Amino acid sequence: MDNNKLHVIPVLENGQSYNALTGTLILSKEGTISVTIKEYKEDEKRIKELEDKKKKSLEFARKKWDEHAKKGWSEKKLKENYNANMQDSEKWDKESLAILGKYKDINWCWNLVGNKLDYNNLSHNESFNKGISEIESTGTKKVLFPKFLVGGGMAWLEAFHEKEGATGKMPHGILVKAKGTPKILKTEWTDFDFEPIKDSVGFTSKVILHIYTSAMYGQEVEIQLIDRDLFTANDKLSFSGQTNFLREVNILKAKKNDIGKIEVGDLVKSGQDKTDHIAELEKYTQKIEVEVFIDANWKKEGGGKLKIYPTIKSKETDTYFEDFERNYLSVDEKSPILTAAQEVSNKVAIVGAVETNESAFHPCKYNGIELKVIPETEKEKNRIIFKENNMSSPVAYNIPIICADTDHFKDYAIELDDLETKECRFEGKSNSHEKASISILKTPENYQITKNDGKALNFKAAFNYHPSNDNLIEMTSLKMLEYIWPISLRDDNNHALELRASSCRYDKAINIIAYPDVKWALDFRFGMKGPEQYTHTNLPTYPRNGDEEKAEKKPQSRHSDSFEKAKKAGRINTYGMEKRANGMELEFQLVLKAEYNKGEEIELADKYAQKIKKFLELLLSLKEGLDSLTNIDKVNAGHKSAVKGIGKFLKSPIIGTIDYPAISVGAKWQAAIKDETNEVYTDGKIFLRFNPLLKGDISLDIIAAASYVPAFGQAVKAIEIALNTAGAELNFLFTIFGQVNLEFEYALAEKGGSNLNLNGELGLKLTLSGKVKVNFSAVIFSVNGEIQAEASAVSSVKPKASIGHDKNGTFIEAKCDFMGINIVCIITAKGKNNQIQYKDTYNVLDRKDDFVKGKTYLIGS
Amino acid sequence: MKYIIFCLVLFTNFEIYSQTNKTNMELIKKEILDNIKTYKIKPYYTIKLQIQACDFELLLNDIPVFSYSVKGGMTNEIPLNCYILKSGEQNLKIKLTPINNQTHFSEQIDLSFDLGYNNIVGEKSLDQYIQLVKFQLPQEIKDEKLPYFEIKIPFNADVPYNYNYILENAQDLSKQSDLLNQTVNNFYHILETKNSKKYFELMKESLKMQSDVEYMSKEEAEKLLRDLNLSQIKKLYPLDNYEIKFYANNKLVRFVSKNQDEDGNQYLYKYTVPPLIEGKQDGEGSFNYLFYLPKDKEELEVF
Repeated sequence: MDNNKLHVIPVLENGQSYNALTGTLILSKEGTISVTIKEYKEDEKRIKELEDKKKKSLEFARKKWDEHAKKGWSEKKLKENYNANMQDSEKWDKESLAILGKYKDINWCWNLVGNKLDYNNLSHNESFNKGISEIESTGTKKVLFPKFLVGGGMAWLEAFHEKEGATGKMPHGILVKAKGTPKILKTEWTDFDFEPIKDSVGFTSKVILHIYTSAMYGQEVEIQLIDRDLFTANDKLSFSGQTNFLREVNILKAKKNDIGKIEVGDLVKSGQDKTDHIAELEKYTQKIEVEVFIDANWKKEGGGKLKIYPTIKSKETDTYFEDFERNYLSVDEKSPILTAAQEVSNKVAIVGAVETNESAFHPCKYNGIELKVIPETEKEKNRIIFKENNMSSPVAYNIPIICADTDHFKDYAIELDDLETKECRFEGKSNSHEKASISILKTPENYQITKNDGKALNFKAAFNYHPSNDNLIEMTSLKMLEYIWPISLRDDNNHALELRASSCRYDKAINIIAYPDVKWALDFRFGMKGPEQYTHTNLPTYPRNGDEEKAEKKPQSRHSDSFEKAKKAGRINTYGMEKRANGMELEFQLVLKAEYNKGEEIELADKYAQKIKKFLELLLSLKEGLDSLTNIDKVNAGHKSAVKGIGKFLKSPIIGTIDYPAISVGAKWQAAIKDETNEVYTDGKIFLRFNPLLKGDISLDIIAAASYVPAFGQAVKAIEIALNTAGAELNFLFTIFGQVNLEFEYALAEKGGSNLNLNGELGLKLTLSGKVKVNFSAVIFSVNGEIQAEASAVSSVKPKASIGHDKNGTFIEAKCDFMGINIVCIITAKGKNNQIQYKDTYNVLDRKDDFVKGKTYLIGS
Repeated sequence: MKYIIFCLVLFTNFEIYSQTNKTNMELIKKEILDNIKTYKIKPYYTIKLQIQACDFELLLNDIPVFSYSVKGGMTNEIPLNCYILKSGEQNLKIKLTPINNQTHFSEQIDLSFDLGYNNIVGEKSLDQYIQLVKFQLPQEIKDEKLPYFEIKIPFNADVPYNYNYILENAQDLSKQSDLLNQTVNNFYHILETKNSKKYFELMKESLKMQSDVEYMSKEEAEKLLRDLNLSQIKKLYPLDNYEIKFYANNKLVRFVSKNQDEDGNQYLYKYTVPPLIEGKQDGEGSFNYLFYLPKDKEELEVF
């Protein structure tokens, strides 16, 4: 019988508060709580009434006795009259006793909740007296909430009639928790016999790390094991591949190393014989015990000798605990190995045993939310938005759906699983969850609600390509480019169908966000129209280390079907770039196509050409930057004007050229949804081919160029003096050779970016040779020995690039350093029998870090 | 007054002495210049080298030509005629060892060279280069990271002169240690006193041969002699502990310091000369002679 169930009500003391909606009494620290029973409180009025009546009745009877006695009534008559007057009083007394009798069998449940409140596990706590004598005499029952339970983990207090049994439900009992100030008290390392470890232990030992806490019951912490190094940075030891691991503070049976050192509390021993009604107690303490396996791999991370200590961070506040003494575990590969009978592995997370959120136990609840797709197809399936488990879950969910435009609405439904709202705390009120669990907060124009009975909601959805305009096909084509990265929505298109699924246990916001069903295809090519090449025959061929480049293949894209189609249809679009500083005119070809509403297509290359130019600029700066750093551009310009002015072909300081990159890109992408996590992501592939990204086959005659580039002058002068060859013909060449290529397929579904493994490098070399016999025999050029540590950079240029994507699109990031060339110009005038050596440093080319550095979106709105 | 006179006397003495010296030297120079012959065909052999990251030593016909510790990269064109004593087969040997006391070569190691000749046209101009040998250190050898690498390449040369008799007639030096040690000190003394007369005497045959095999014009030979003037020495360094290296069947010796300089050289006779461009470093000079003992002679001469 439900009306025989009791309700516990707290009587608040200082520093306590009570949330009636969740039935939770919250304490600021440990202490005594006072409660009474609602039913008794009501009965108590009646008892008081009866007592009053009894008192009045007694007074009246006594008064009459006195009056009648004065009048000389006989003893017998007096008694008869008194009994008659007291007749009601006895009746009332009986009634009063009967009422009190109801509470004699009251059982008290005072249990730790852990992660589940199950009435099957609730029974009378033998450390309590049955009944309510304490309430009868003092008005409240006092229960101690001990210090070792402070932290957020909850206890359940319920009074119930023995026959009824405990319910484990509000409002019959109350949850009690205390906040306190979280602290780590100390840490200790023991073996599996709980003996503290004093000496160092060997690798593969099994040990326990005890972390003693205060006011942290139920709280999760992030722990990291550190190897302390005195002279170098400390090493973080990996724990099953992770840098840190999760544990939860719990109440654990006190071990022998705990007693006498740390505050322990008593809990009633579970599973004891209850016939004697004597509560046997057991000692418990608030702590974490971490089983640690001393991983042999830590040798690699920290060396053969370790001094390990933990750092501990609160998950709730994201701050490290600091005020506790470090306790080190020494590990030495030569020390004995501590073993234990049980299997020990380094577990990344052990949590969820203690719930700290009081609403998690409310009987007015649902235990799942589902998005149904109608009809469900192979491609688009029903999805779980939320499912109850012991883990904490978010209060708001953004649920993406992919839809056609507003001429093609699609059906969906939201359903709540196992909805039970009878015991709603708002029962009978207008906001009772029994009336409506699903409510609609906002319905943008691309959603239509077809049915809502409070338990399930049916709606239609579409994607609105132009939310503030008329729904015209022409408008769609105009606006389509805004959705080139379909998961990045314009602010004014971020309209969500805003729903709320409410129960006393869970109250979740659900935002249904529509993404466009557009599929994109991009094909793009850039190549040099004609090489800018200067040749003359004055310069000698000289052995080079660089491989002879094979005949360059025409850049092609694997994703070239759209390109091919466009070509057949005579629709290949060629776009020009602004004339380059070096006078070159460049152009590229581009096809960009959007397919939406399952088959409608729009060609958008013209609108996107500008974007590609920006992307190209970054890559072109590799060639043009290197031209400028090596002074090739200056020499080139000087050479051109000289040729122009004199009108005939002079000895040119340059042969060969650094090529412009040949680039082709093919890409296909669209928005997609990960069913398990309800995340929207861009699915697709980008194929990049830079062949070459950078190619040099150039020699710069430094002697001929010295008049254009003063930097070369001094070195040349020194050589001429040393060789005493005024008028003699020397060749002093700066050569750039080699090629950097790339072929890469980038999957957009993968998180994060990748380094583009640019294949090859561009070598730089200085050579000197004579065209005339000289008495001296050798001139040595050596790159500076000190810079030699950075040898490859000095002698080559190797660009670095990476591709990645974020919510705004796919980008390429490129970076290239030019180390410059300082030559230690060792001029060795070597005769047959003697030599004179001049060793001077000349800065031939300046160092320039990051001569290319940038990030541009290849695809992006 | 007496003092001044004394000075004048000294000065006069010096002048006289110098004059005598000069006269002797002029005679030697004349002898060298008169030796110059004219050949119809003048092949000028060179080796064009590119070397990276190794200690390098080149010998031709067991005569040391060039050695260097190449920490970075080096390009170099070395004339070879001085080591080609007669027409016929010549033996080129190149030894590579790791730099900086490393046990194995680093991955940067590289060696490539072209060996060949130009015929000299007129006095200075070179005709087209005729390649005899082309070598590139194979990638497999670079990958193997060896502790040592040696290559021997024989080739044929055709020269219009023959100086083979110099070595054929020279005496074996392997058992002449007293004489050798004496030569070390005598030679240092010549440099210390800038005794150009004695110096030219020892050099005479060597200069004769060099000017001939390199087909020098009179002007070039004059310049060669001019450049050998000991007066360019700014500072002579003291002698190190030395050892003696034997070449060409013990007919040639070189005195080398037991200490290696940073370029791997073991020069014994070291000195400085003024810088090339004002403000830059002084030049470091060194004499690196090969000596031999001609038949019937008791004093070593420069090869």
